[in-house]
Formats: sequence, C-alpha cells, structure tokens
Amino acid sequence: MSVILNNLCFSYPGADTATLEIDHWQVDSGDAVFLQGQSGAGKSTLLNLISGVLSGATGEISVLGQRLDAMSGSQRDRFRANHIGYVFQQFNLVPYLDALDNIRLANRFSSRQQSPERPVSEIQALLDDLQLSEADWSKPASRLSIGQQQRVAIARALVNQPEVLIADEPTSSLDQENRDNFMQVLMERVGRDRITLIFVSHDRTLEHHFKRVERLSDINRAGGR
Amino acid sequence: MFFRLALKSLLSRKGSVILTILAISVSVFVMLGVEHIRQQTRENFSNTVSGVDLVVGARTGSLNLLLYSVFRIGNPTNNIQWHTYEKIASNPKVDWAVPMSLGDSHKGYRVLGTTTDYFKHFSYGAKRKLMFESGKPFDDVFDVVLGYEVAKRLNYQLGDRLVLAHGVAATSFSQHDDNPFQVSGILEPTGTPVDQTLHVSLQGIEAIHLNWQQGVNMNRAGRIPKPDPAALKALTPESITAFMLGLKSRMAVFRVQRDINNYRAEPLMAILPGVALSELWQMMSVLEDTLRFVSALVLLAALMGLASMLIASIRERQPEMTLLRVIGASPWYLVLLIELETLLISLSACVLGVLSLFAILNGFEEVLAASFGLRISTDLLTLTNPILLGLVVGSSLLVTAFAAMMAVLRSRAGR
Repeated sequence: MSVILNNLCFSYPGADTATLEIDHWQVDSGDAVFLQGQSGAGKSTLLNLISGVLSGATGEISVLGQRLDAMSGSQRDRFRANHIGYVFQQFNLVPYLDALDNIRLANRFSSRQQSPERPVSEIQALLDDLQLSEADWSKPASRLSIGQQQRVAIARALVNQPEVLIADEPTSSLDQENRDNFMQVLMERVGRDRITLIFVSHDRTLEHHFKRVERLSDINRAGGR
Repeated sequence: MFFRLALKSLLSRKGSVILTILAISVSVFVMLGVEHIRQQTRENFSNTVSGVDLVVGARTGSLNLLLYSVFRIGNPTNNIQWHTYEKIASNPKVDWAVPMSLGDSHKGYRVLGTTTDYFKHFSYGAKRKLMFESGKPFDDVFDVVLGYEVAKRLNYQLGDRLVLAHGVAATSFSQHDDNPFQVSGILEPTGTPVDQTLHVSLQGIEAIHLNWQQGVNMNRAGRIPKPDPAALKALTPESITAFMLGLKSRMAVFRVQRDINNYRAEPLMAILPGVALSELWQMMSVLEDTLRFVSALVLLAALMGLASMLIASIRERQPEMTLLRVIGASPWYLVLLIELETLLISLSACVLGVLSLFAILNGFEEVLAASFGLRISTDLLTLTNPILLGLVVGSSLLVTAFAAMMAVLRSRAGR
C-alpha cells in the first residue's frame, strides 16, 4: 500500500469550514491514479498533505507504510526528499540554475541522508531519456521553454528514485503538442520504474492515460474551500 | 553547492543586488566618514599644540589662558613683566622658553609677537614642527611671517608690505601705518590657529608702539623724531602676554607649574596645554554628540533600506522558496541561504564603502588641509571602525533573519 488516508480532516488556520474531509482513501503501490477536480476543490491541499509540505491535519496519513502525521517537520522534509517526487504546474525549477544543477540540487538534498549522490552521467542520461537536447542542459532554467521546463521537472522529481510521484496540474501551462509529449514521457517512466503516481488535474481529456480515475468531489465530503 | 546556489541567486538578480550594495556602501561611506572626521577633529584639536610642557600667563582661568595664548580667541586679563619672564626662563629645569605678545591684528587676523625660537620649538599634531612653504623666519624688525590661511585669503606674496592695526577688531581706526611690515616667510598649512596668525618679532611689536599713549599715536603730531634702525633692534619689551615653556625633563612639569603658580612678585598661572585642551573639548561635547547622532541616523537609514530590499526580494522569491522546501530543503537551509546572500551583500558593501572612503581621503588629503585646515589622517584602522562595520553586517543579518523566517513560514503554508 503506497498511500493511505483515514478520517482525514483539514482546515486552514482561521477558516470556519474544513477544506478536506476524507473518510478513507488509498493508492496501491505502482498504481497510477488520475484525481480530477475543479480548481478550489482542495486538490493542492490534499497533495501538500500527502507530500508533508503541509501539516496540521487530524487523522491518519500514511505513505509507504509510515505515518506522516506522526513525524516532525524535519523528518517529513527528509522523507519527502528521499521518497516523494513532485511536479507542479509551474515554478518547478530554480530559475537561475541550469537543468543539471537543478537536478543535482534535488539529488543533494536526499543524498545527504541516504542514497549516494548520482554521477553526472546518470543525470545526463535521464535528461536524454526525457528528450532534452544536450545544448539545453546548461542553460538557466528560466531560458528554457515551458515544455522543456516541465520535462526537466520530471527528471528532477525522479532523480532520487522516489517510490511515489505527485503531479499537480503539470500540463496546465502546456499546449496540446507539449501536453501529449509530456504525458507520454511521464507515463513511460512511471510504468518502467513501477512508481506510484498521483496525478491531479481539472482536464478530463487526460483521463485515458490512466486505469484508475477518481473525482475529488466523490471522496472529499467537505467540498473544498 | 550551497555557496554556488547563493552566488547564482545573487547573480540572477544583478540589478537590484548592485543597487543595494551601492546604497549600503554609500551609507557605510558616510557613517565611517563622519565617524572618522569626528575622531580626527578631536585629535586635531587636542594636538593644536604639542611638545609644549607649560603655557604661562597672568593669573586667570585656565581656559581663558588657553584660548588667548593658543587659539588667539578672547583677550588676556593682564600682561607679564619681562623680567619675570627672564627669571623663569633662566630656571635650570627649563629647556627653552618662547615669549608671546598679543594685542594687534591685521584685517581680523591676530598678530603674535615672539622670537625666532617659536619656529624652532612650537609643534602641533604628532610633534610636527612648523615648516616654511616659502621664505624664512623674520630677521628684520619689520619682517612678518604669515600663517598659511592669512597669506592665501589675503593673497600675500613674499616681499609684500602690510600694515598692522592696533587692537584686535576686524576694522580698526588706528593703524600702525607709519611702520609697514614686509612678508619674509609663509608657513605651510597646519590645521591649527597658526594658519590664521601673523608672526612678528617682539622688537617689531615694540617698535610700532613707540610713542603711543593710551592707544593714540603721538608720532602723528610730528614732535618726535623716528629712531634709527639699530636702536630698534635693541628694543626690549617691558611686558609680554604669555610664554611657552619646554622643560628638560617632563617629570618636573608639576613642580615647575607649582613654582610658577606660587610666584611671589606677580600673580602668574601655568597650565598644561594637553589637560586644558581636553577640558575645552569636553565643553564642546555637544558638537561631538551631534556628529555621533548623524552617524547613527545614517546607519539606521542604511539598514532600513537593506530591510526593505530584502523583504521585497523575498516576496518575489516565494515560489523559489516553496520549491526548495518541496525538493527537500529544510527551513534552516532556506534561512541560511538567505543569510549567506545577505552576508555577501553587506560584506561587499562594507569593502566598497571602506575602499572608496580610503581613496577619497587619500585623494583629497591636501585639498582638505589647504581649504578647510583639516588634517585628516588616512589611517582607517581605528578601533571603532571594525565595530561599526560589524554592526552593519550584524544588523543586516538580524533584519534578514526576520525576513527569512517570514519566507519559510509562508512556504510551509503551501502555495
């Protein structure tokens, strides 16, 4: 079991009503789940809770068999660096670092704790695999196109060989062609490495890439903010 | 990687970073400049006279004696008999004695009647002797040596003739115009009251006052013939205003001072110029405090500028902070990253500020001395400067710490 949520309830400080109320939800290892929800339905909140960026929820949040809700802040940071990859809609990369440095930085944060640092050649192979040409490896991320940035973001999310990959509207800022390209590259990598994928989007045209499709409104009793 | 991240982050914001560095370095420059000038003024002041062990005058307040003898401000209460001077000067403990006779002026600048020993023994600053920019000490009875400022302001050259006025008012109705003086020498700038003084021989002072009674020139009536020059050279004053003493051993200072203060034949007073100078400086502490206050305000302004820049930049970098958190950076990592960037900014600003102050002090040393009479040393390695710089760096780090905490708290609350 990759992710288990039990009796989860979360509300932002100062808010009257809960943003999330989930009785039970789980994702099996190696599954790819498409979680569909309109903006404001609490998608980002849920993902931030699962990745441990956000804390303060009541109930159980278990990832890879470990209780995130019982961990301290720094434990969660370490756990996230080692086990969870994250791809956002935008601002996936440190804009002034080049692609290689961005990936190396993410690698550094996890390698300080566990796995040894990966050699540059491996990172280059990863980028190559994600169809990023060598000429773009050493450009500052801010000078790459959005499509290229999102593909580097996958490489960055995968460099620490995480068991879980969380993608939060990663295709929203992409055009049709880049979107298809992104989905293809992503699904291929996830399938090959048997990574658990939680993919959140409002865009229902992407549903066909996934075996399991869920509506956030079906599992969240609170109905977002 | 940590350092590289900070450096690249700064480089990516070159424009605003350079502006911030400039703003802080200007503040550092002004702050250190004001502080340096404050210290130098104080030092200059307390070194207005050096190498003189005692100043002796008629009995009065020590400040009054100091003011009229050294600063040529105010008026002496009484004169000293010439034989009293001769008696004290012949004391075996006395190494040298220089008489001073005041009371005349030229266009508002005071005239000092003295002997050529004055140029030999008087020193200022760190035992600097008076130097001649041109010419030589007075030799003839009607020779005059000008202080630097007198010559410059009134545009006198060697050989020029000038007329002294009776009394010290800027505009005098009784001029010694029957005995003009010739400029024999001009002194180098010293940054002391010497620059504003005309120096003549004691005989010169006597000569121009021959046959004056109650401030009126009796020569005008044409009754008295002019004395011949040889007789003028042999004139001895009846009284002088004050004199400076150098002792053979400084250990004897208090002994000689007490002897003079207890002199029976005439009420005298001897002061240690260094002690009197520092007393006088204490009276002017308002000035010093004002300068300090200005320094403090400048520093405050600099820090507020730094704080606003940092807070603005952190707001702008919120997505970056959140991203770093998500890929596993701890909150401490972010705080340290921002602190390192601030450290780089404030250190380079300090270096820039100190270097430009140093360059400007060096470049304008002569100009300052010549036009403002300010002798500013270029030595910036005083004790307070590292403290001030440390204060700049330290408080910028402190301000940043708040801003950084803010950024970290926000990155916690999700996007």
